[in-house]
Amino acid sequence: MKIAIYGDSFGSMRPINKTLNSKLPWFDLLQKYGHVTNYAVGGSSLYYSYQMFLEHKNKYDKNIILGSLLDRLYTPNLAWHHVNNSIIDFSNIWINHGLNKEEVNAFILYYKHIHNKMEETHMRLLIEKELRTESNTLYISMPETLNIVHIKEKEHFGYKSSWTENMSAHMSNESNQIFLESIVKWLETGEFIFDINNYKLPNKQDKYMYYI
Amino acid sequence: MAGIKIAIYGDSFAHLIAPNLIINNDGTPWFQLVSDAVGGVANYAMSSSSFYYSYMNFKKNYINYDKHIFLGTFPGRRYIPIGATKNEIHAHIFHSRPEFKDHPDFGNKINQALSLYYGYLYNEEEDETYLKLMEKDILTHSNVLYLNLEKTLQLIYHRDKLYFDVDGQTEGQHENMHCHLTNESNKVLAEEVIQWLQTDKFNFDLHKYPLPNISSRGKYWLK
Repeated sequence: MKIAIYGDSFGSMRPINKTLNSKLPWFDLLQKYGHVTNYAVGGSSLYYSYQMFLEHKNKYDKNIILGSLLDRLYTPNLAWHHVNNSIIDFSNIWINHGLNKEEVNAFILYYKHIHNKMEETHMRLLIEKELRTESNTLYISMPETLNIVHIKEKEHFGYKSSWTENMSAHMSNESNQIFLESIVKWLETGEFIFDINNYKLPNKQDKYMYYI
Repeated sequence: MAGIKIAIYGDSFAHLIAPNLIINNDGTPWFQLVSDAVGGVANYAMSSSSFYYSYMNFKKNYINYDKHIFLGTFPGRRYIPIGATKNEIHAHIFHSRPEFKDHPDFGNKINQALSLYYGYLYNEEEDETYLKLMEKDILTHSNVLYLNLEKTLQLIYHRDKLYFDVDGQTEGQHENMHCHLTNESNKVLAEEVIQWLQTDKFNFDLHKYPLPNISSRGKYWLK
């Protein structure tokens, strides 16, 4: 079975320090169940995933799209293609990613003066509507699913920032396993269930593994 | 048609009134002609507004009207709900020009933000994708007359401008038409819309809109 994954870091993020956290993320473990091609890019927007999906969907038996969080921009003409509103508070990080000061300022002023969250939400709903009518396609909205797991675990460990994370897909290894099982069930039966109660809080002693 | 509630959405093609009514004194905008003929028309159109602005109003007001007339405008426009003076802003690429630096709405940081946005961040392909998705959603409703401006009224406007030999660079700011159309074209459009309200049939045909009389140039393009 040929499977494609589209999305943001929930479909692409691996631990930075593999000595501390050596477990594989759900999307790598999925290789056992088919030939997986992963188009997910950390920090990317739903629009970007949608474009990738439209371009590649027909090559695969099953397509999995993780609908990323809001406040993201796809800028194919700049050195860094995927930017979000954290640029307002962490502009230096983006300058290190290859953007010049004027480009960073363009993003900051965009988010402060031009960005219209209601418009972005409306456009997201239109893309979601399209994706939900596609056959052999599973669309999962991250704000309503894995991001809840992520926030719950972050609070559990007492971390506010995500910059020091050493997790797979922003989740504990146990949560990666649970999510993998729900994806495998969808591949086998066509049924996908997300239930936050299935995602148990990890052992607090594992904190050293997940945060550097 | 008595009692039918009608809503109009769009940009200047459904909103603009000739600025000098002493010179252009024998015509009426098409939306007014429709309202005069059938009554019960609410016009949500706003000059310079984006496709999204119209779509937002369409979604918000859809349930309150029996028939909707939606003029789908061009990509590249941004709707900013709260601008520098707390007014809503309908921004175009030309608002990023330096002459808007001290404008009450576009001045301050907005002009700089727009200049950098259109210079570095604007993604035309993404904008067009959203426009097509909104268009698709609008077309699922059978009680909507949808006109893609690029394929309809804009053709009349360009044809007439060419016919009048208008120099867009020097004369562009001196237009004195209702909804960018001659008075005759406004009349034809109103008749076509009224026919749609009665029969649900509308076929845009450029040839139905008469070429203006060359002697009327001074009425529509001010010196």
